[in-house]
Amino acid sequence: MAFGQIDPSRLEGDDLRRWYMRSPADIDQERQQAAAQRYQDFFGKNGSIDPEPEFDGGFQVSGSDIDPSFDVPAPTYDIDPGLGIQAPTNDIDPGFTWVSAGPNRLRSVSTATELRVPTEGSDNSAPTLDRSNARALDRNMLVLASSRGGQATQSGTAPRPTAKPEPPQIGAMSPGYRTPATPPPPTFFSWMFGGPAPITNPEGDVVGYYDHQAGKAGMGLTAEYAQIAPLFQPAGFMDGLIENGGARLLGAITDGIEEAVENHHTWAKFLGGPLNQETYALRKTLHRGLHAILHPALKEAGLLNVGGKGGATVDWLKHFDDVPGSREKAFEVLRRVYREFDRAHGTKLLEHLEKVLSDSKPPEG
Amino acid sequence: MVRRAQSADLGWLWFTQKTGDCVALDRRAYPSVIYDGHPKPWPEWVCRGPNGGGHINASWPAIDVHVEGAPKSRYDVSWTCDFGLFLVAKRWLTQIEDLIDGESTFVGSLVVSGDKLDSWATIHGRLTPALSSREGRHVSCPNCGNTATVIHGGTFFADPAAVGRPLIVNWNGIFVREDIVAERNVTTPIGAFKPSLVRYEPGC
Repeated sequence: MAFGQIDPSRLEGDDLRRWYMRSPADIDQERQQAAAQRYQDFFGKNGSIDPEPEFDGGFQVSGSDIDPSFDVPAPTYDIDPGLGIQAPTNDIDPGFTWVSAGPNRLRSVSTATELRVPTEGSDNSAPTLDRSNARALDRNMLVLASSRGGQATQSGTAPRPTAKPEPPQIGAMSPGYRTPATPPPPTFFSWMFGGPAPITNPEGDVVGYYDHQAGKAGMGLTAEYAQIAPLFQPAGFMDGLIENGGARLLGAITDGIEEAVENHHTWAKFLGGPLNQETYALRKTLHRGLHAILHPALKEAGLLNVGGKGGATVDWLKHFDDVPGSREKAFEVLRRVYREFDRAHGTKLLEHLEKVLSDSKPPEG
Repeated sequence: MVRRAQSADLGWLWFTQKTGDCVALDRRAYPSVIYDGHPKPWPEWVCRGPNGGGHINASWPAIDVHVEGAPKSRYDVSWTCDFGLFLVAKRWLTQIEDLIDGESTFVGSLVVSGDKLDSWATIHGRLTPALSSREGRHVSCPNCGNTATVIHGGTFFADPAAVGRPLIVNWNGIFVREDIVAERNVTTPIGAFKPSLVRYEPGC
């Protein structure tokens, strides 16, 4: 499970139904708890310590490494031997270093560039995202204020270093390259659910889009979502998502999941089972698989087709009236199929059938 | 009166109930028997076969039936929960009413609490050709001549007596000759399957 604490594939029956019937608020709460847990896990024992104590509105900057603890060493090994690209033996970007730009986020800054010194009237209370140089590494993936191109992060006035050629940016200009503020192209699901939902940062800038492809899987999370998941941590980005259609999105996901669950009449309607009986929730594939076993089993027992002409409820009940014992024979087949299906899939269809039968009046006629 | 066609090429459109909604027989109007361990109303128009089962007597003419309530008004067809007597709304029946000859096909009345329902009728065939099925089987009653067909695979009429008949009503439903359906633009009754074409296949 990418997000939830419970794996729905392990659930059946009422447990599965309850899991699917969670309200959007429950799902959101669970998601936030999971996100907080990941945040805690990431920072480990120091999770309770503010990882960015300098961001108190007056952090100091210098021309040298402003935070050596965030200096990322250059790799000394082949970063991707499958691509045949040799890893640099020294720092791939020696003029830059990484600074924290918020919870669980980093940005690179030029160590050779004179960073702007806070001046009176300027607002340095919080780092801002420089989207002018943001680049997407992949579809919908967000990169925050990277200055790998050489521009000064904050001032935008420093000259671009020219002594060193820019290293190749794998994927940066690949097909599908978009800035975070570029909405993804429409898909079938975005067409269905009303288009991608923009995600904004605390300043109100659009930093990306949540594609409703998530609804396709009915799980609420895709890899794309996972990439931007850190943005949903304490800074309150989730509010932006909700405001911009997240509630609709959650509803769509819930609807999508609902389609994947079907209610099975354990006392089959064609065997005289009441329409409004208590049903058993089964995933669609299991439900279809069950009927794919049951129908031939009834036919092999010399009984009727299920459904269609000659297999409608009227035909079955006429047959029961005309052939004594045929009803009991049909129920024997039904019980046998349920028993074998329960054994194979861990369901409780037989138990449910007996309960429905005992709760109902005995079959007429 | 529509006459019997001479051509064996004409098939029939088969109308039969799809709806699971049925009406129960009025237990006060009929004696009960224990069948399969449960009490069951057993009207006089039901024939008990040699196996102890019951079916509509194929030799019986028009059937008037006492039921606990009227069928759902949104449907054009329904059936009795016991023995599956075919019920037809008169608004649909008017399209083929003139095909009912009173010799092989009959209409009867529905009675609810002693009152006859004007909007519904029963329809029943007497010793009419049975439907055949390629992988199915027939069960014929030696007492009344009823033939019950268990359908598996394609369906057809094998009985030459079916040829040219404008209307056949049997265990499996109502069959209206295709040229009549086309000419009158007979609608599919609400609550019935979309009709399929059944042909006469000699020698099968």
